[in-house]
Amino acid sequence: MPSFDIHFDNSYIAAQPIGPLYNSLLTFDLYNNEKIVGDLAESWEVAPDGKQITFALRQGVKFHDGSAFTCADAKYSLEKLADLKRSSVTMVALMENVFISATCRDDFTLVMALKRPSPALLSLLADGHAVMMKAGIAEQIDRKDPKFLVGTGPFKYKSYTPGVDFHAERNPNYWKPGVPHIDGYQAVVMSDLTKIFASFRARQLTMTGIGRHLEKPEADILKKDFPDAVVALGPRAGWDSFVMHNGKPPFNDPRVRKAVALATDREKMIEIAAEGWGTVGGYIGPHTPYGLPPEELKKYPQFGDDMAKRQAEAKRLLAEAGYAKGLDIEYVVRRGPMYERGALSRQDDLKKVGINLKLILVDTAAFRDRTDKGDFQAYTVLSAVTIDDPDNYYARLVCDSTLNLGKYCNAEFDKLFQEQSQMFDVQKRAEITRQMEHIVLRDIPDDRGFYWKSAMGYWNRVKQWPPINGTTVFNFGKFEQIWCQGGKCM
Amino acid sequence: MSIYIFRRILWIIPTLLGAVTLIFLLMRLLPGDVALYILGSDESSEANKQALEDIRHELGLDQPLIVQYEKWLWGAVRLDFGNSYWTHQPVIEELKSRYPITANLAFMSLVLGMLIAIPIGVLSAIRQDTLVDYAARIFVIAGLSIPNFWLAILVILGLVHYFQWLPPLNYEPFWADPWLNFKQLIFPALITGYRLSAIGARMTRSSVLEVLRDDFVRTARAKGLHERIVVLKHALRNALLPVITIIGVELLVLFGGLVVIETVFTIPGVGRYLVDAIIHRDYPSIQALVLVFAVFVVLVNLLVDIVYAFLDPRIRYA
Repeated sequence: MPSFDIHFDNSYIAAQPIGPLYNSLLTFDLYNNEKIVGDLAESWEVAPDGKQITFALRQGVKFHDGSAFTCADAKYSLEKLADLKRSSVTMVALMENVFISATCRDDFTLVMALKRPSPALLSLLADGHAVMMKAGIAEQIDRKDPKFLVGTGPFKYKSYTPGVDFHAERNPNYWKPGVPHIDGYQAVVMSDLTKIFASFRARQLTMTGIGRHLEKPEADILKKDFPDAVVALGPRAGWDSFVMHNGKPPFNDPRVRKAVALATDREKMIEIAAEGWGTVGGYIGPHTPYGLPPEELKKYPQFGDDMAKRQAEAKRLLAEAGYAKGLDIEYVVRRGPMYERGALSRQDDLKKVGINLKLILVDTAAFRDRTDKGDFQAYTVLSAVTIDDPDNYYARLVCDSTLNLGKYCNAEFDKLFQEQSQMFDVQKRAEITRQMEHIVLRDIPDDRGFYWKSAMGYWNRVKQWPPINGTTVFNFGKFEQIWCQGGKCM
Repeated sequence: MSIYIFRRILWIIPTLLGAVTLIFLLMRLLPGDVALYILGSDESSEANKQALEDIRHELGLDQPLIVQYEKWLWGAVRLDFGNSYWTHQPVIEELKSRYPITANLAFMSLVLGMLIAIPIGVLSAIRQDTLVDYAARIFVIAGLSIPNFWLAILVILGLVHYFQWLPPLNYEPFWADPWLNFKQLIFPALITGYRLSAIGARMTRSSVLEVLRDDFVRTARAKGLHERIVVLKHALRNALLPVITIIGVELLVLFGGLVVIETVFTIPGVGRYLVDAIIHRDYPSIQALVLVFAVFVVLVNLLVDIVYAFLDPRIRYA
């Protein structure tokens, strides 16, 4: 675990074991993910101009160290979330665009002043990372020290052995009456999918992972041989993409990018990389209300059914761009079965139109090093967002965004981005995001192979486990609602 | 003799220095930024430029290589290997908590390996060119050629498929719960011990075969001793010397094998720690582990050299 501060570290590796130690101001309704409900905020009110949100904070909430949660803690947490030195760039990228200040009207009333209206902000505040921390904690305790873990959540820190496991125990003074039902949990570190599944089958694990770590052949075994196992499948806000450097030849030529998209057989890639557990989509999760419906997507040649026709068009475009004899591309791929399988499928497809991908397999550290420095022609990554909001999806395609590693830039797209970012009405917002989809489906800043599905296995003794949604890996309800039949979870 | 030993001990210093310098430089030649890794290693992580700089400064990675090297070397001399970049704990503490686990597994592997090797080797020798011998030789060849990681995965799958069982996840020291400790380590120990047993059995077989042709064995038989006494009391005792020598050398290989086995079976020993440290570009931990391993190898070699010199005067006078 890189650190114990999940404002700073926005990976699911940290959020899953640590998240249940905290509460946020808001949270997603576990059974209706599009609905936001109060957590440490009992209620909230958005001003008519959308530039101020007033939160009525819950009273009688205590941190694990016995101190009371007040507005000062919420104010501190929000300011920390907007500070690049103390929070992740993804969090700050969203916060800095909207956040002006947080002030306490009294101990239990917080007022948030905003630069502009922002529907994404409410989703961000409900995200499993935007937790409320004790005021001053980051200045008093090193974020790598487990003593940092002082929250108000249903579980308390018990122990951590790096590379081995993380233990948490029930918080007997949790503010929500009657929960949690379980005495504690252990998050076990396992790097190998085979071992994870074997340990699950041997009933050493209650679940294979939260929203992850179950593959289709394993699910088939569970369905066939383990009637008491539950295979949960759902959408995932994560996608395979072929990121092309739009600022360097040959991908600074849109015709070459289009040829890549035309030549990529997405259905085949879903079969090879995800063993069927994937969905074709545009530049925003197809499970959200903001993307184009499949029949609209089909109107774009890169989603057409006739592969021979697509390949012929790709060759024509390449010839027009001056690559009639084909071209060689250095293709950086992060090591890992998920990434490699998709990359091989893509390599095979592109070869058919004369684009020879030279695969450079690198481990995570080297991968991040190269992509961050822009040292690539193309790379493949499984990208994901922590909240299913258009701001989060599209931020990596906005001209001056730090998340925009492919260096795509389109002024019209940026203008629409700003416009949708202030629209609270979902229908109206979707109308704008669909216009944005048309722009990027035409420009092809990167090629979206497919959207993954989330899959996990757990034993049916575990009750009240929520359905899988796009961001279950981050937002899964802190284990507070679950209970195990007969007190045994596996 | 004492001059010879003194000279051999002096040679340890440049050997160790060479090993640690090499690993220090190799680690820094590897592509990849430690700070980037620390800040995020999954698909949703994005690096924060200011934080990257802070981390590089905090770890001393912004200092010239020679300064980093000097600092580390001076610390190592005082057994202060610094803090792990990954776990943030003092490396020496990490080693202290993980070495007993690896030693526990190594000891079990060694005992099991020997318990299998010697009877098979002896049986194979006294039943030379029979079905028993052929079976034993197949066992030995398989042990030498099957990679540990592959066998380990097969064992895991077999245990789960046929018995719905796997070694318990949480490590318990032998003195805390011997039965749980046994259940946890028996299969990993059998797998690493298998290779050791194959080497031991092969050596035992050829050694026993050689000894069985010696005059003193013929004399023992001529005295009318029971064949079992001849083999076990007279032949085996003499045949075991080269076996013990080769097992001593193979112990070093065994430690290499434990890296794989600990990773596959998720045993929190030094082997797994080394793999994690490499993945996390945790330079202080890797350097400390390599140094400890190098010390171990050098000491074993020194011991072997001293024993040889003691037994063979030509070596110490050379």
